[in-house]
Amino acid sequence: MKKTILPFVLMMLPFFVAALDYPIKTKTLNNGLKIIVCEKNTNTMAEIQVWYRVGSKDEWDGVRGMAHLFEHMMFRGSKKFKDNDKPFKVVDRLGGEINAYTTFDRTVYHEQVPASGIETVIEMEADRMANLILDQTILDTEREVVGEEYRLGVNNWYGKMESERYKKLYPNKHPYQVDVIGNLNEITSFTTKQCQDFYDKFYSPNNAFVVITGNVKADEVFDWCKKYFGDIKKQLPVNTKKQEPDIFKHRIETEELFVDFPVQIYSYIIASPAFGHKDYYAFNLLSELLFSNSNSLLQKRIVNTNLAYQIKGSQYPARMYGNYTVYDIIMNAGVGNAKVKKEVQREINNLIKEGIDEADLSNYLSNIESRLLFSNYSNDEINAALGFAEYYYFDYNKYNAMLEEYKKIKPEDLKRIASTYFNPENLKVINIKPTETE
Amino acid sequence: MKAFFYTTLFLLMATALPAQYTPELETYTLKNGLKIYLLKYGKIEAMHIKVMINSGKKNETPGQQGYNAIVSDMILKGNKKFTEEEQNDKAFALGSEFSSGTGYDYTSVSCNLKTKDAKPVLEMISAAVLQPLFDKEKLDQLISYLISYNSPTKMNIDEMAGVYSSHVLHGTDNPLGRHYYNKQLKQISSEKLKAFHEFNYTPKNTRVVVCGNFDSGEIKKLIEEHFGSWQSAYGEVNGVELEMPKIKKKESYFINRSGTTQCAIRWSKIGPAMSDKDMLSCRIANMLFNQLLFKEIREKGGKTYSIGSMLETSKFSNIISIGCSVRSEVLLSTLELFDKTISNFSLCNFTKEDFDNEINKQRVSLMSDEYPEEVANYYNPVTFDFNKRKNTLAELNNITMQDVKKMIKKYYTPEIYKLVIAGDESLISAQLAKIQDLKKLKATDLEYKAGE
Repeated sequence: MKKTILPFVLMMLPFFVAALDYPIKTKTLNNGLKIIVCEKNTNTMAEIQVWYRVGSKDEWDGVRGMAHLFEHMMFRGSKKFKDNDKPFKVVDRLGGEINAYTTFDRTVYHEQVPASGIETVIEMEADRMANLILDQTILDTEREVVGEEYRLGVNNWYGKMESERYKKLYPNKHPYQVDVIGNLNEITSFTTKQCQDFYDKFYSPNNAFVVITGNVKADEVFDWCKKYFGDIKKQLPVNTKKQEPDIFKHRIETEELFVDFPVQIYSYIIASPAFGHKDYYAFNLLSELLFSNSNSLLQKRIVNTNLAYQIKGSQYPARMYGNYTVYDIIMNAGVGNAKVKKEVQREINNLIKEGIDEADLSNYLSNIESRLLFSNYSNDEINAALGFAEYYYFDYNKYNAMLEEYKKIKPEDLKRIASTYFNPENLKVINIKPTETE
Repeated sequence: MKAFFYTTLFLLMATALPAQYTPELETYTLKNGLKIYLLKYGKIEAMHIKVMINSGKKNETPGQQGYNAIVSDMILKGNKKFTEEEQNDKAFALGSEFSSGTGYDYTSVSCNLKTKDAKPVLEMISAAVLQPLFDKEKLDQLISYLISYNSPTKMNIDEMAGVYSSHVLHGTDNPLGRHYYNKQLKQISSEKLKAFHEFNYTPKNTRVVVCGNFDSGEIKKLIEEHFGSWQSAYGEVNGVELEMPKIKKKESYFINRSGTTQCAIRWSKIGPAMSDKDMLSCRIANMLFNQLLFKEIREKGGKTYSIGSMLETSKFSNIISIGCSVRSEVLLSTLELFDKTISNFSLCNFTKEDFDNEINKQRVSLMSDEYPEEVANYYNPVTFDFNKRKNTLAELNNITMQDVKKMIKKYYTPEIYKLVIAGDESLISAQLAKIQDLKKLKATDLEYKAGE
């Protein structure tokens, strides 16, 4: 039951795979539930992922953190799978692993089990989609558990800094205004009524889809899905994208933050285009090339030359709405920083003027291709790629679209992207300072 | 439903083993003493290379705390053949970025690669391991960062509980109990690291593991080309013998970390040694213990987000380590609940079904690894014997409930452990006062006193 407290730890690549050698088949049930099956028989396992079109973006004041807490409740029992047969127990007996994650955009439940046990987890997933038990005693415990998860996040210095900074970023009413974990005071007072409302509003077969990869036969999987999910009648309006406040018109006011952590940081905060925007891929590529790759331009300019210790962060790949991409330039203790800011600006100016070398672009593509090859080993990564494509493109066939999109980008496109997104109007620097020095 | 699960168990036992569980192993030794392990399996044109140096925390003499970690970092920061930038550029373009890491027993440098890139990758990895520069400016930068981050007023509480647990378990006379500290870090120089590297990074002290889909003849040729001329005046230098820790009674320690709303708790108990025949049965016992901890302390108690018990995988540390973080106000009630839980566990009230589940989980987990890196780690030749490792499944099938009960009686004894708490004293002083014979630790306790 992990969650994404902050987006910047997520990398883009896990959501895509190289062209798959395994057959992929699909079927949609009458109640709207789509099932995607990838027949990969390289080991004895199979993985199921159930993707719900709900995340923290769908919360409202008073229930900040509900999407994530609700994810916890989905593990505590349903009409048929409860007590000694609750989800943890069921998967445990099969010898498998069970988990879930919640992001701003979505909630995904996943189980990896021996393929012979996949029917059981399909039945379990169907039962918790239709017949979840929301018990006050269990909710009381889970509120405490999520409270601990919240504290865990802010009890390490970097997590605490991120949490403090996050509150300063988004405009009011933006879907990403509150971090996924939510507000502690609200989490600890959630009621079963609020949980039930959330379940009734977002959990239905037509607001979800199922992806299964592993040593299975698609026709059998379709039969099992029909048998267990097919009778779920509940229909909800599909949770589609809404109008959000424009972060490109929003001004971040904060200039400095004082937080209890060891070293100084410059946070570069860049308003970034949403998924589906024409600049989405080119922006991602350029920001990686500039900031976050192991051999990024700034890595060479300021880390390899010992001006700063490290650059942390990457863009959040799955963003239904425009968001802020944050890169932290972590200083060496005691080193003057004015030069770092100058060097970053010089590199950005250079990008705007000169663009990117063909060779850098070509290396970037080779790197992606090579890393995608490794995704083919994993049921989990294949499911994630198919799920991502289905979620954001509404078409699982676009699981390897990223590479194709990147191949279309020309060096001259990147000059325009640099001048549009990395200009002082769109890029904010927050100076984060330690509260004490030693 | 139960009948179904036993059928599943039976089917699994009858299933043919996946290729990655039983890779073909070819092992040989170069003239300079470097041992090579080729593990072949799979159809994807990809592989993993890991260079493992038998040098870890266990080899650090007083004053050398942190040397292995720093050397493992510095070997990726430029060498005689490639500058850091050249290496990064080249590795990036191939999608084969290197990573390095170190632990109690050994240090490794590794990377994933496409099979067709074996030649340039082996050239780069050998240059990194054999000929690092230890550039002074880069070293100063790293040390400066470590000094800032290592401050006890800044360290994360989980990490703090871990550092101080090692300290109270092993003591500063044992390298595993010594942590680096600022005064000592400031004395590290490029020259000292070069000498350390020269002494420990020798062909006889190193293993190269290649895992995945490749042509053995071609790989052997490349290995000879890039590692064959490696010479050293030193031999297999790291056959150290360290005393295993002993715990006879309950001992409790506290280290203050102001400004945190949680306490990190670490209980340490004696477990079987890595090579002990008890290890696999104890692993099953530990999995049962984890189930109970999760149920009592998280699911019913709501005390923590996660709690886990782990058997340390070092040849020199036979420790069962249990850790969690809790909000300050429930520290004492969590300690009491843990005592109650381990007491109950020691009564061995688990069922046949519980036992079968854990055996099955272990079996499934063995067979689900598929990445070349996972397979290379599983067969890790510094730590494990290949044939013994390959027989784990058969060994697993021979474990009985009685074996596991013996492990519980032997190792999961209530009230015998070393407990370390890290938290904000101002928030928990009343609770700390109720812990019998609590010893308070200080930041300076980590400093090595004798022979410095």
